[in-house]
Amino acid sequence: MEIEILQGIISLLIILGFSPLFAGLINKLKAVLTGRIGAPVWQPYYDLKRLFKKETINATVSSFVSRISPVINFVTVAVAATMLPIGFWKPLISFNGDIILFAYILGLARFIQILAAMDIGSSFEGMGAAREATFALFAEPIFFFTLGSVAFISGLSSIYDIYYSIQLNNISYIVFIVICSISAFLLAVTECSRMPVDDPNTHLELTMIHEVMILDNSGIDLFLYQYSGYIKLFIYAILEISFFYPFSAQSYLVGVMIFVIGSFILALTLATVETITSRFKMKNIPQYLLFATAIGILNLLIYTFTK
Amino acid sequence: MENVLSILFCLSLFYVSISSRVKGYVTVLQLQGLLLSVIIVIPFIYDFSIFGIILPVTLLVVKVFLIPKYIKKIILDLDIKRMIEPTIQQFTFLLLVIVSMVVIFVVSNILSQRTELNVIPFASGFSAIVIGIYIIMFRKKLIVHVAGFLILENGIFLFGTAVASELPMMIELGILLDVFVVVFLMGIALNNISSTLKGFDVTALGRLKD
Amino acid sequence: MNGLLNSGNVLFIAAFVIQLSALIPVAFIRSERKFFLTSNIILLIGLVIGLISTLSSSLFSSSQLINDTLLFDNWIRLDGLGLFFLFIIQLVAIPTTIFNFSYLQHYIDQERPIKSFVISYTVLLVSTQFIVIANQAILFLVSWEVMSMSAYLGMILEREKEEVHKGSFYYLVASHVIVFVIYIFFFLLHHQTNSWFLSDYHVSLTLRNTLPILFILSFIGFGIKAGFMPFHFWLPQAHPIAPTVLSAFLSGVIIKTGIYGILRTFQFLNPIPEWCGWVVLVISILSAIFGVWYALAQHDIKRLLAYHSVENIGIIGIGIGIGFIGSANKIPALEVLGFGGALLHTLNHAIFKSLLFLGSGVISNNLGTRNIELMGGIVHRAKYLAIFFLIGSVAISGIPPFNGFVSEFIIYNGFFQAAKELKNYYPFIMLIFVVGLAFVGGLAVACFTKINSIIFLGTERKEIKHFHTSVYDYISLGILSLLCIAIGFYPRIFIGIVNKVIGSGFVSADSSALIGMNWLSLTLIFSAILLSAVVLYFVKVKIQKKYGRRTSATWGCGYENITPRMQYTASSFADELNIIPKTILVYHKKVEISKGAFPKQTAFESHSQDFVDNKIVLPLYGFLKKIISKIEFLSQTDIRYYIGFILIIITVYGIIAFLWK
Repeated sequence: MEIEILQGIISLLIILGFSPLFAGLINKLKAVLTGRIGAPVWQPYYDLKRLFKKETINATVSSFVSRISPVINFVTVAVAATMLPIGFWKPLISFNGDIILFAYILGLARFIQILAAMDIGSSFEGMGAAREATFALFAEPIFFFTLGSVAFISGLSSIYDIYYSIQLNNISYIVFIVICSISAFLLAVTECSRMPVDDPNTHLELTMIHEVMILDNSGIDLFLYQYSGYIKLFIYAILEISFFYPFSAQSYLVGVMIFVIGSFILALTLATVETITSRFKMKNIPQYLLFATAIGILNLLIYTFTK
Repeated sequence: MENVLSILFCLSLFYVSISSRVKGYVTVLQLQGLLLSVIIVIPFIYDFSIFGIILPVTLLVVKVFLIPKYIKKIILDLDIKRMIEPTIQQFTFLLLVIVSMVVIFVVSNILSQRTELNVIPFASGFSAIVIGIYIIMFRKKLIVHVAGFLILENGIFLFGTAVASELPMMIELGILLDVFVVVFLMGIALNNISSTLKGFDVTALGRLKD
Repeated sequence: MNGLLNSGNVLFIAAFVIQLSALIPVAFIRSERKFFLTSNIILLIGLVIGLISTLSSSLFSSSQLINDTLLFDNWIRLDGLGLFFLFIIQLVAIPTTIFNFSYLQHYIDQERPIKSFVISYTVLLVSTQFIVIANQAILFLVSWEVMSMSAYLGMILEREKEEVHKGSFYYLVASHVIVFVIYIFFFLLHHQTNSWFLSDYHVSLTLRNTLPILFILSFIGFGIKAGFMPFHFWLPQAHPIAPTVLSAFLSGVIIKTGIYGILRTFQFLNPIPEWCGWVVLVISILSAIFGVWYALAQHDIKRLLAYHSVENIGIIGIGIGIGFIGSANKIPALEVLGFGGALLHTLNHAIFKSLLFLGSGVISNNLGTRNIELMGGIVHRAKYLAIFFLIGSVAISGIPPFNGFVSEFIIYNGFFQAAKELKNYYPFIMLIFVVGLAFVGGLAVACFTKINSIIFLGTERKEIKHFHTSVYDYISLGILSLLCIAIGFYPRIFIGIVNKVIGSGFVSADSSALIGMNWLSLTLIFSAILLSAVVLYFVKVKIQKKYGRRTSATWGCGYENITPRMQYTASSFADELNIIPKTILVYHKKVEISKGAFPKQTAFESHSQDFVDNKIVLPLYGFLKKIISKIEFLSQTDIRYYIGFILIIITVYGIIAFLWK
């Protein structure tokens, strides 16, 4: 029991510690693919350090919502991170139905962040907030049609158990899992505001979703927002990688190796996608998300009928 | 294996329903042609015969090379715009496609309990037929109608392989020829329409009725 | 008689007597203000005593079973379901009655006569409590009718306004249809069982061919009251025009009597066939999705909240549907989760919906408008009001750590259980419902971030001269917020109560699926979130002290003269979502953009009308009106002919009665 708690805490620390590195890795790979040298992999850490020491400036019209929002955002994302398995270690929080808590606790982060964006009273933030609310809505079904469909088929409702139940020995199940992971990748792209949906690099407010919501923040507030953004990216990366654990081979070393290799491949994929695609028109995003949902539905249908 | 290819076929159907460019349609047609020829070739891996291999090869040549090339040529020659001009929102269209697909899968699964058929290719072919019809219904351009018709025809093909693994080859070849002639005729029609009406909308055809 | 005189029952009877005695002052107190104060205080005392007596009943004691008490020759029955709803009614009635002190003061300042409102409010409270404890069909129907009519009389407080006429008329028509339908329902039950007592109603297995008729009648009758989707048309018309106290009570409690009716019907008809479950499930999921989508398109805050009631009734209905399916398939775990989620959500919705309605009442009274496009920046005027409203909003969106999440969590678990226990197609179908529910959650987030940010945050779109909040507002809102927090953070107690209610006459066998869930980890996680957020907040403040913090104007993209009207508005916030189901929402936009070197005024409007109201109810009404106008000549004739008509009708009725034998 104590060992399990310790393992859970270590997993959490890994997520908290390495999430900026993952973001840095994507940026570096992207730079390499576009023929630039790019910033070092450690750049996100430097950014965070810089932000930490800056003065905080709040908008005059802002209220208590802006003060508490970065904190709640960070805490909820961290709590969501404690539900995910790394390697074969049981996460700190794992009980029946935690898949729902996971989805809804990220909903709390989103709720408070949208409010904080509207708190500034600027229409730029308003636009970002409206888009976030809209696109998050269409992203919700994808989550349930990927991880949820695995859950419903296995009859389990805890994230760790769900991943644990994945056995790669039946061909139709392998196809099912692979297509699930494609859907989950599309979800990760949306939720982490990566390229075909959102552009994390541009600074033209009209084209952004997530970045524009935190435009009027600075100092420690921005530090917390950025950090929770990195953690969120890493969380979705773990959701994606965990599909490929052969859980029947239960060695921690193998798990960690798969985890590291998987993260690298995923970073490479994200970087490649960001290199070769351009951002969608805003009005095309709902149909892109519906497309991902459609893949999930089709996948589940086919699996149900071939069994 | 057939199932996996059919799933890819279905994914191509989803892609075609959110694609907003004519080029995307042509790519999907090529992909579907390839998938179909692979699906038909599979039985012959175990039981090789020269005569049986003719159909897949013809299919490959006609569907992957000839027809797409011809369509591309028409697009270039007549200087057709790239957008497909839908009559309803793409989002609604995709929603419609999803709902119909779910219904088709459920229905074909119920059917499969009574008779001997392969559910996944059957349902995929069925959905392709329905989606081909939708494309003809909800798009304005005649060239897209041709693509919709070809998707429908692909659907019939897949449908056929699911119902009986060996349709008489002559019939299939006949269908293929039929399709080719239809596409050719449509091409001529497009040429004529463009020379007389200066537009490629089907709405323009409405003016011809008197 | 022995049972009648024990201490608990005396308290119980005393509560009703005191509540009714709130009407006595009308006879001898002339002054409006004094009358209302005395009457309200007496009512409040009565309610508190009532709540105490309810809490001292066996439902809330530590014993495992609930005594099914029958009083007054079986006319009154206190069983698990009744006591639970009684608890909900009293729990909500206390804050709304406290709120009355400040709210009605506002009307007294306008010198509006409020005597009739106070009377109908008192009668409404008492009759609503009678509905859930009545064991006699006639008593039930009479209390139902009194409840409907007293709510109507309270609703027309501002009767000189045109919109009040229209809205209350909708309510009146809906109430009459309901009463008509449930009259037939009870007469059929009486016909089958030869009894007028609800406790005797068990449709025996031999007479099951009438079951579909009974079920459909009950679902239509009680469904109109509850506001399921095709029958919801009266809710968004009646809620906005009612005085705030009444709309809070209407939305929090009265529509729940519909849910009570459906659950009672289930007890009569148990075991229920599976198709009933599917009917309820499909209608509920549609109510939930389109209820919240309509809400998103509204600008009138009370109308918006009324549509949210449709959504939440949908969620309750989903729970009931799961319970029905479980009951049909004889799976106790599923029954417990379904009905448990439904009952807990009924309690939760009563709490947060009345919280939100009362909060909206404070705002609209101060601003004189219900249009949210004219609000903004209220957080700088009334910080605590904003906090209470925020708690209610987070709770109603089903987001942890408040109470809305707990009940939705149970319902989700019900779906998981259904997929696990019933293999075959069920996982797929259940997953579609789960996605529907998740979609509803997402829409609710969009909707409540919209109203919170537009009403409270940013700057004032229309200048607020002065914003007055009284201590009574804060007491009533505070009580409700505390309940939201308590159920969210420590659900175990409430789960225990709900589980006991279900144990008495709902499930075929005991199941620990509900209490057996890991409620402790929820409590721990929520406490951890709260604790670490507080700690982190203070750390953040400390760091800000070290590196400095200042305020500065919002960056205007280089533009100097920023006005409050340049903020993002509610319509623009929701626009991207509203244009998707344009036809169903009947959503219209009107944009006028002027061009040229010296552009004149530009304008933008957006409206949403109700599909059911516009396309079904109003045409039907028009059609009926046309038919009735054709037989209008009958009413314009001499009185002597009337007597002739009566004679004819009596003859016809007599012949039918004769032939019926």
